[in-house]
Amino acid sequence: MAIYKYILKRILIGLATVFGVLTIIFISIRLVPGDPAVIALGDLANPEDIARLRHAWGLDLPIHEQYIKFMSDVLLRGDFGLSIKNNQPTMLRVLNRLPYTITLAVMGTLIAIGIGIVLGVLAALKRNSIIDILVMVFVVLGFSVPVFYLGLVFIQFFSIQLKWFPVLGPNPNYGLLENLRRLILPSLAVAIGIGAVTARMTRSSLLEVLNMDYILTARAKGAPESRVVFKHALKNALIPVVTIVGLNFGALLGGTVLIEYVFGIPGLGSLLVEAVFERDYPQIQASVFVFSLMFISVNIVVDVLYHYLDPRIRLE
Amino acid sequence: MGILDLVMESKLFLIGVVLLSIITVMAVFADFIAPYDPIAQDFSPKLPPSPEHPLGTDELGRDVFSRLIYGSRITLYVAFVSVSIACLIGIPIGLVAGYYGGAVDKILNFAIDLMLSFPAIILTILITGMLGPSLTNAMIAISIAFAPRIARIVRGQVLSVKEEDYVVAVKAMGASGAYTMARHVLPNSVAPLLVQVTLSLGTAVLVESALAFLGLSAQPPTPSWGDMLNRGRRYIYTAPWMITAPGIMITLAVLAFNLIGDGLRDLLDPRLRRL
Repeated sequence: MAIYKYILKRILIGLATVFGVLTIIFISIRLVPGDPAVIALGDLANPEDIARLRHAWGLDLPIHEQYIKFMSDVLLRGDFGLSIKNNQPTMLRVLNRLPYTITLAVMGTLIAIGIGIVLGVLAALKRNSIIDILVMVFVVLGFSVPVFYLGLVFIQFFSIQLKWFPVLGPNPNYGLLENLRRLILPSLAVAIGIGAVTARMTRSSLLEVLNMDYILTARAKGAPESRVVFKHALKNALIPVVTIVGLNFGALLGGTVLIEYVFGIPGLGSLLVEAVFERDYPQIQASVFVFSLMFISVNIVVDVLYHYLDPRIRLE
Repeated sequence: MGILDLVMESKLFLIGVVLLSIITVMAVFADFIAPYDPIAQDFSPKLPPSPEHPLGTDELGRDVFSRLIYGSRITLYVAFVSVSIACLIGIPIGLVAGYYGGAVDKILNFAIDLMLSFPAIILTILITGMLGPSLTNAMIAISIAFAPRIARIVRGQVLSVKEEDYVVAVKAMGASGAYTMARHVLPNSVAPLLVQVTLSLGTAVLVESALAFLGLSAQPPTPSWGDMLNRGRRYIYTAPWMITAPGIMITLAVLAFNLIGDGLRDLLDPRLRRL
């Protein structure tokens, strides 16, 4: 199958997934114990306000009409309704917060890939040495330590003890460069877990590739070891690494929510947590949707990239 | 080589078992181990570690060591109950999808894919956000988030087992679908499932402590490690000991399940060995 056909197919499946995800998000408001409008406004709210909110949320319609209204508002206009907090469109609030989260996720992913590949290659080349053991300890611990605890440890060590970085993350009061500097520590914290998984995958994948016949051939032809590893082996060893990064991107996104909370970053994750405590149901729905959308998009890109990199894969 | 040799050889697996045993003893015998009542506020607030309070006291004057001991209860309770419920939901779905195939499988598999399109933490925040923050609701959320992961493993396993000759033979002898699944397919899918369940327990500990850290799980004054970290966060300058102990405990609990899970993988099926 030609690559563009595969891309098209993958995007169509992605759209079906988005449709399904929206349906789950629509259903989720049914989980609210009692009348969402009453709970959002509190028991002492006057009946007119409650009736107005019920109407705004479409709760006074029959369920199938609610569903059609919800889906068409979202799909045609990107409209999840107004936030209870300040009557701004929920999607506008999401878009205002999104740059922080995207920058954090991108920096985190890049750092994770960097750490993972460097440590993985080192461990594979120095197999069973002290370096290999240290990398494996890093892998096991990095995979187990909760990201929010890691963030707090980084603050204690790099901010309070060494005073290298500020305690708080970026916010709109600073310029771009200062904000990027303030994102270094949070990105590093977000990156450790996925970096550990990447290191483990790189190590085992490189070890496997180094045992293959074509590597033996390259060595037999007298190619220098550095050329064998970096030119011949690593290129193929990194193919499964692409997949593992994609699979773990969801965990990284979840990590950004916690790290934004730790460093006080006004991103999408903090918006989601604030919305939960304000019982701002439309805001919860809009925020969760955008998180899923990012996850789905990254997985499409990863699948396409994987297909592009490995011509052996036959696609159904 | 016998199983015991393999177990002894796998030092990491043993470390995991020892860690989990220690945490289990903490949880079971909390009443005897903890020197103080975990919710009694009768000490000076934010005392640094001392012989009387080995891990200091928190901002309300509660003994951190005692809260840490009792906190293991919430952690283990949530992890085991939520993952068990996830199995009760996920195993039948995975069995039916894998065994019957066709349209049934297509629909169930799409549903599984949909649930997995939410990052786990985000899905649990959505569910606890709608249900309202509480320990029970956090457990419901974790169960719902993990069920599709269990279902996916079971489905994959069933797909490979059902082509085996002995299953085909049982079916040829006229056994019903339910009988074949319960008697032959499920038991032969147990090994990878056990690995997945153990690793899920570790992830469940992570997710629960994350929810507690955000204030979405057990509510005060219940001692839980995630909540202790959240409180300590506010006193990071003046009382750093409030963070260290619960942070290390969560890490060790997750580590224990991960080591056991990886060890089981190696023990049960050398073909699945990853390292």
